[in-house]
Amino acid sequence: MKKRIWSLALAGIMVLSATACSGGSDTGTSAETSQTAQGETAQEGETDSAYSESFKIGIAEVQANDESIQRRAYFEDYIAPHYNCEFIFSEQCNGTEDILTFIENCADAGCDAVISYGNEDIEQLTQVCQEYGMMYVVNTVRINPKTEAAFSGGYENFAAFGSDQTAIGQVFGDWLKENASADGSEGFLICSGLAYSGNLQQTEITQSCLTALQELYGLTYESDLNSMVISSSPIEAANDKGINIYVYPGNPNKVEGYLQGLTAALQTGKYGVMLQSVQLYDQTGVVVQETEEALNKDIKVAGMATVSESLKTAFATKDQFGNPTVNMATAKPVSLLCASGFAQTYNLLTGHRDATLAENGDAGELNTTLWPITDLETLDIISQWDTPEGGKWIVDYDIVDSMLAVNNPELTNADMQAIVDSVTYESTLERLGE
Amino acid sequence: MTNTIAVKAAPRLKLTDRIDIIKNKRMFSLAFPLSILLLLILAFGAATGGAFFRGTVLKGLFDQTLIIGTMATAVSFIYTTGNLDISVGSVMGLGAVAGALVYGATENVVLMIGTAIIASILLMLFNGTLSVVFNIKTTMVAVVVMQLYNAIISEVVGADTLKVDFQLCKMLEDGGFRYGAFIIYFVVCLLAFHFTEMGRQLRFIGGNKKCAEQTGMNPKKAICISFLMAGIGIGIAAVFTIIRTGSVGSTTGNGMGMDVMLATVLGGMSIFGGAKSNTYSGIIGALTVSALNKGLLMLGVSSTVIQGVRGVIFLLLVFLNSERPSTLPAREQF
Repeated sequence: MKKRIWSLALAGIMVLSATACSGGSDTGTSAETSQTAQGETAQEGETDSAYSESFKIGIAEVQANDESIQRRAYFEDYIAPHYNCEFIFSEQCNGTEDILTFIENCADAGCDAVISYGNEDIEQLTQVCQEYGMMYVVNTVRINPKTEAAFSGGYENFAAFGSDQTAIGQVFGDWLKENASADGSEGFLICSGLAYSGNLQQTEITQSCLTALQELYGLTYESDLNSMVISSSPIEAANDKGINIYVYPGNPNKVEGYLQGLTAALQTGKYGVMLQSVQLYDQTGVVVQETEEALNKDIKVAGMATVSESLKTAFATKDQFGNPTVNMATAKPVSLLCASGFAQTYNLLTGHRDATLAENGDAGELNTTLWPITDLETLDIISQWDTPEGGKWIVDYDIVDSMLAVNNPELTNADMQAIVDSVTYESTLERLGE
Repeated sequence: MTNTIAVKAAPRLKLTDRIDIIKNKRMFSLAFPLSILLLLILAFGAATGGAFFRGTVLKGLFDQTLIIGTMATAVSFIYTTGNLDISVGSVMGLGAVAGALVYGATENVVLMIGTAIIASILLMLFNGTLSVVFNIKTTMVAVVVMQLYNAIISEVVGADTLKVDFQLCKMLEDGGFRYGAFIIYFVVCLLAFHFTEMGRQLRFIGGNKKCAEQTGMNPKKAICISFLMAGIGIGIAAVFTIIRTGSVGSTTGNGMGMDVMLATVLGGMSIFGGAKSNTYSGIIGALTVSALNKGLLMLGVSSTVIQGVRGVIFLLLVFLNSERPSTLPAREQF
């Protein structure tokens, strides 16, 4: 019995202390934490005078990975103290119901805005936020009917930011031009991931890959491109040039089943280039290497990735042909995407909606391109930036300041986009160094 | 003198025995989780300077609880008989898909509601029938059909979401449809479970199946009845889901089977059924989860810490609620 009482008492103390500690640290984030990116310490008075109005912003997360950790550090440790904001993060939201619950809880907690990384049912959730008097800024782009209603609906509390689909297509297209054969005889396998269940990013990348191949070889698909992208079963993208193009969907979270199907496809020997919309390069790397050994055939791999140790390993590991396991990865400049979302939100909150609007008066978006990494040296440099430990953020206060209409009332969405576009690998390298 | 000796000779009860006596009181399973819930609400109310007591916050708390609460009320009929069904989330999802499809085709809200409920009842009866006909544990049936139902949802819904007019959903919500439907269903369940012969039979079968059989009860019939009752509730939850978000996607209902189980356990009911089962544990458990999430967020607690705090509190509640008999379990578990 004594043990039972002790265990209860200790558990109770643990709950109380955890609550007390976290409460203190969280509520104090914006006011007390004042570490700047370059390791300096911000002056409290300076922060107050520059951005005196305080805001509370909820962040609806839909994933838990390296990127979300980077994002949290950027918002919480870097943005919050300087811009007098407090951020509340959700747990991993698994759909509209979870995001809706988070929005309601944010409203009760006194939030002024919600930045959502989930892009389902945007219009409904914008309306819900509108009822609560909150802004709703979503990580999405205007690419299909699913998002159209929110952009053209005239909602005064809505804005968006996302990855530039055309630019991503360009990245894959450029890489293919350099690495694919002139006739496409090696064959292409495109992993569409969860595009079939509405994952916007994976939809975008699969579309980009198919479009890039279309442009590169001047081919015409026999089926509708969009229907192939969202197909829930593997599909041969038959075309007039007879090039082998295979779209392979699957849930990368169920790794074993996913890899089984992928292995079967690769071992047909029909595909020499694999383009991935999913971030699964370490596991797929093993499958590719096994296939290369079995067929004595070099398979090139390009895909989405987050800058991390496992990506470094993938680049450092050579296959039997002396090539790295991953030939090209597109890295997401996380702080650039975060800063875009924050700037859109801050402009809405400070009454500068005009700065967020597109030229035609619809809700505007800011598009960020992804950076291609083709060698370990570039990866080593990029991996020093946007780390959760801080120090070298790709987007610093100067850039964020320039995207806020409180500093420049004449600012337009096009100006903001130009600022986002100016943040490239080269410009960052020049500013932050290696 | 004689009396004095008798008092001295009486064995002194240990603290554990006293606790067991309290825990075995009939009302303990209701009073304890309810007290915890009220304590939580009071604590959050005090910590937030009364903000937690605002009408909108409490309404939001109830709104967030309705779907899981209704489903937990529904599956209490299955749990009571000593059976488990973790496919209820998928059944709910598929019921919602059917309802949304019918709405898309007819724009008739009555047909949508009817379809969602009937589809859910049929699916649950299918689960129950599979178990009865092939004499397979309901848990195993659930594992298999869950894959099947999820595949159907993915195939039907695909990359899109099925939309239902959001303004209509808001109108139904603001008009109190959800509250009315829940209260009616909850009262019916309460009466059927606690005040009818059917309810007593279900509890008896859950407590001791063999003994129940020997007294003339039919466990197979009981399974069918429990799945029918659950199907009605899951159908209602499917309608609530459509109304809440105005859309149904391929992930609707995913993982809800476990959430329902968690709410039931937190509410103080054993998922192995038996005489102490009830219909109200699920809603109490679901309210506890929502109160914790909302209260901690309003206090500015980090989401990662919320998960930790919630885990510890869940462990505490389960520890205090569960029975740990010193003998081996009497029921045949598998």
